[in-house]
Amino acid sequence: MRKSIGRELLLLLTFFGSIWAVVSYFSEDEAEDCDVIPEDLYDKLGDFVIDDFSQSSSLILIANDSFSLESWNEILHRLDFDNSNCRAIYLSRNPEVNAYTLPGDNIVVYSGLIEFVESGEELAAVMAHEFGHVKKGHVRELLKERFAMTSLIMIVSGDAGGNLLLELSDFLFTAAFSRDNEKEADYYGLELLERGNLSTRGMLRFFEKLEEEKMEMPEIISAFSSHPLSADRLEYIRTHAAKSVGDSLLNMNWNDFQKEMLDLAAHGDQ
Amino acid sequence: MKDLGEEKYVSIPQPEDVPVREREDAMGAYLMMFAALAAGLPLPIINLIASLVYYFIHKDKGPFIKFHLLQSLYSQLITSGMNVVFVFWTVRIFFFESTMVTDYYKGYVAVVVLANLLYFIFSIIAAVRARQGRFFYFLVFGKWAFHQAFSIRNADVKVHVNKTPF
Repeated sequence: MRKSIGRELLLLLTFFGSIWAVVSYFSEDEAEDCDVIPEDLYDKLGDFVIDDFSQSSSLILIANDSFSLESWNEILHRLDFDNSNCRAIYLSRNPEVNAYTLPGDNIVVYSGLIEFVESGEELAAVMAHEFGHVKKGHVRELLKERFAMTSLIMIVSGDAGGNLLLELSDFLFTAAFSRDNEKEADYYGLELLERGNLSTRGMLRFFEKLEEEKMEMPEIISAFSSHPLSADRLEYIRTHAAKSVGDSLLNMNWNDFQKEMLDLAAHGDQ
Repeated sequence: MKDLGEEKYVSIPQPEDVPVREREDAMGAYLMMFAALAAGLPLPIINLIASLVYYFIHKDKGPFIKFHLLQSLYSQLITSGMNVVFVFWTVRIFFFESTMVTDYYKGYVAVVVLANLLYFIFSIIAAVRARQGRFFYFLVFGKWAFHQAFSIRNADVKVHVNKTPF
């Protein structure tokens, strides 16, 4: 009996193994890139989120590929702003000290952040950090993970495709970058500041202020951040700042800039 | 009682010996794969749970039913296992570390599709045969299920002898 079952098992395994081997061998391509969130879908999702966002609070366009506010030109030029590190930057009237990256590679800066920082270099550091999230594809990564989880849950619950978009939309305001993502964005930001010959002490000062105020990262630098400012994080920024070669300051009057932005946020772009 | 080589097996019931109720219960074992679909739940693991529940309800109703229950359950265990691997592999490819569809993946998809197709066709055939009071043996699972359902274990052959009080 056992021999007979063994023979049949061998037959079955040989049959399916052969199918696997033959199909694998005769497949046309070695490998295909199958991104579940293609570029155009990602951009559309970005437009949807911005539309949704602007329903609840006013958004003032600061810069995109064809426009930028004159007062921002110095910062954006030094950070080598273009389509690859951000699609658009918006200012929003909100007292919270916050800036974050949305799907579609749009960055929103709260007026509370403009009020909190004390120099253009600090603001440039925050922007460089957010550019890091865009450049390293962190939002896309998060979306993919969420998309996978939501799809699985919906398959299990029998509601496949039902409220996926709504689920994703809700997720945007509750998701968090991983500690590794934050670190990667920090390093990219530091690199970007150095490339623009900007002092990395702006980033150090900003983080030290967070530490002094005992503020936590979720409310500070990114809506996607979940982790408090760790000693480790402050340490590597401090080390980097000490070795920093870029030492020039921005050619801008911070007080004028701050006043202009706060007025803009308060009265809109009218 | 028959002795098939080393193993001892209970006599196989012939179609006319199997009551209608047993035939229907045996057929039901194969129809459990549709249970989850009827509930609107396409994930294969739900079918397996339904089959397990069905097995525990009917397993003591005679060797004919038990054979069909086990054959259905074993084949479903393997196909569900393959489906679960397929789902996780797909999720991993499309959502996590890699976005590459490799040749091995394509080969595995072909194997899973074929396995599910064969499982579906043979389950329908087996369900019809069971309704007729007959047997249909799947490769591997058929023999193993038969052995489990019809073999006579030591406990089964223990004969009680009534004795006088003196």
